[in-house]
Amino acid sequence: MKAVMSMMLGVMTAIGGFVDIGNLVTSGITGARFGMTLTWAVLVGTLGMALFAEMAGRVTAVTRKPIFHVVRERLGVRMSVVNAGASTLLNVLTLAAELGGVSLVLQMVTGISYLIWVPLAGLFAWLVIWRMPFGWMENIFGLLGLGLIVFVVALFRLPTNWPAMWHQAVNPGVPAGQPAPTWWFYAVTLIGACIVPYQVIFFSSGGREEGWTSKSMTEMRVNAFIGFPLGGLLSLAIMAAAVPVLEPAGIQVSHLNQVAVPVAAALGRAGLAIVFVSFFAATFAAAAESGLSSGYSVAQYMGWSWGKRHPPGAAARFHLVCLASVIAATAFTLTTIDPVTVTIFAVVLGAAAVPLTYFPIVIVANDARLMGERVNRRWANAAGTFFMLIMVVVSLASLPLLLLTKAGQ
Amino acid sequence: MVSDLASARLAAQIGLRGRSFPAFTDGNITDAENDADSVNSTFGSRQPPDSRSDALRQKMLQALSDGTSALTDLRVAVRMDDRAQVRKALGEVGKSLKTFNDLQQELQ
Repeated sequence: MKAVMSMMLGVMTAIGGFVDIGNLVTSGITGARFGMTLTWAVLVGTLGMALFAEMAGRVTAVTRKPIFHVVRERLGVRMSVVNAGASTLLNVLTLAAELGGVSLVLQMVTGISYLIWVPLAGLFAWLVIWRMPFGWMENIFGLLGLGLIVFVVALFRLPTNWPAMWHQAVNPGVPAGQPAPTWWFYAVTLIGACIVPYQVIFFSSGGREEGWTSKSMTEMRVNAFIGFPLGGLLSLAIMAAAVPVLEPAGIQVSHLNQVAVPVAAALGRAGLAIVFVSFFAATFAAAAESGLSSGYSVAQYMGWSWGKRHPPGAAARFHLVCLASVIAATAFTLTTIDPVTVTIFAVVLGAAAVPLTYFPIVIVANDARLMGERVNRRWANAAGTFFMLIMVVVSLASLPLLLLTKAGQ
Repeated sequence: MVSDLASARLAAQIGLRGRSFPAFTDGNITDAENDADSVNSTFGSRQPPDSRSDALRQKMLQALSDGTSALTDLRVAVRMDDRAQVRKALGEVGKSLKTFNDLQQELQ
């Protein structure tokens, strides 16, 4: 019974923890502008994320070593420095976007400029990284993030045209009057928002924090194959809620608070209050996770002691990297660059770097010497290769589309 | 601009029905006003290529200026919690939206 409860808790935190500022922004923008025609992009991103998270989690559980440690051993110091360096830079950029998101939520609630909240959000994120036990951090914010289910409830209160939305979802295509490059650009951002590198790093390193072994395989797989896809459904609900409210009015989403408007229209203040809490939890959890992932990437690559399971004094260099990441991200957000723009760039650059992060995971998961009987099965390799090909196409297309569309204009 | 006007109108209407918090309504309208102001100043700085375009530019500038003023009035009324003024400003926002829709049809 205890094991089942633990598994359920893991799934719920995986659902709540899946959505971050990237999903909130890209789902809101695309729902308002393209209806449900980009549903496929969320599905591709979510399935890819589940697949690679399972591989990374399996490597961690079997080898009892963190993913970057194994990648460095398998690919060598020089090859893996590119991987660790790109991941760390992306983690810091993502952290900046998340801190911006946390601050925007506080602005929504209080009316006080988000710039006032940025240093406080950075300080709070660092305190959580430094002091809060790993399990508490994961469970509290993951469960609060589940409040995003309010978007599903809102869909049933709004004048939702279910057959039309279903038709758009299963017949994807560029809607009339919309430029094709922009539609494709947002397809890339949706995939990038689902498959952000920090989530896989956090998932596998979190496995070590929680002491995963080969016996934890079921729990890990349930989290990856049930929790993450249900999290992807929440992204789709946010997209869908924009369709009956924002799309007919010709509203294009360019601010985070517009994403919450459909819930206010459907459920009033009670729904809006739940949105505030869940937006805060989703962005704050992701801020802490991306900050931790910076520390995980660098410390695991360098072979330092790392993790929240050690007292801070015993993993001082790991905590120093986390602190430096939080300071850098806070400073970046304080430059007054629009947090929504930072988010768009973070998810596009994340999409561009996906093969760099995920390819080593496939190689390691295929190493029979390391993995023994838990080596990738044929289906995993077939699916991994298929998604890797998609990711390479997404990666190659991301930067030209970014420039061609002026970041989705 | 149409999106900014529509976004502010929707937020104000939800606020009038008591289905939103004042800071949230204000935030949505202020964002729309800032975006409209940015569109206004960017368009105003463009050099028209000929005299025919200049006529269109003047027409558009007037519409942009009216739209931005309507959003400012709406924001002021919302912050003062003056429901009568909010309704009046919403009427102006609606008129601006109609002007832009007419202009759009004229240009097509």
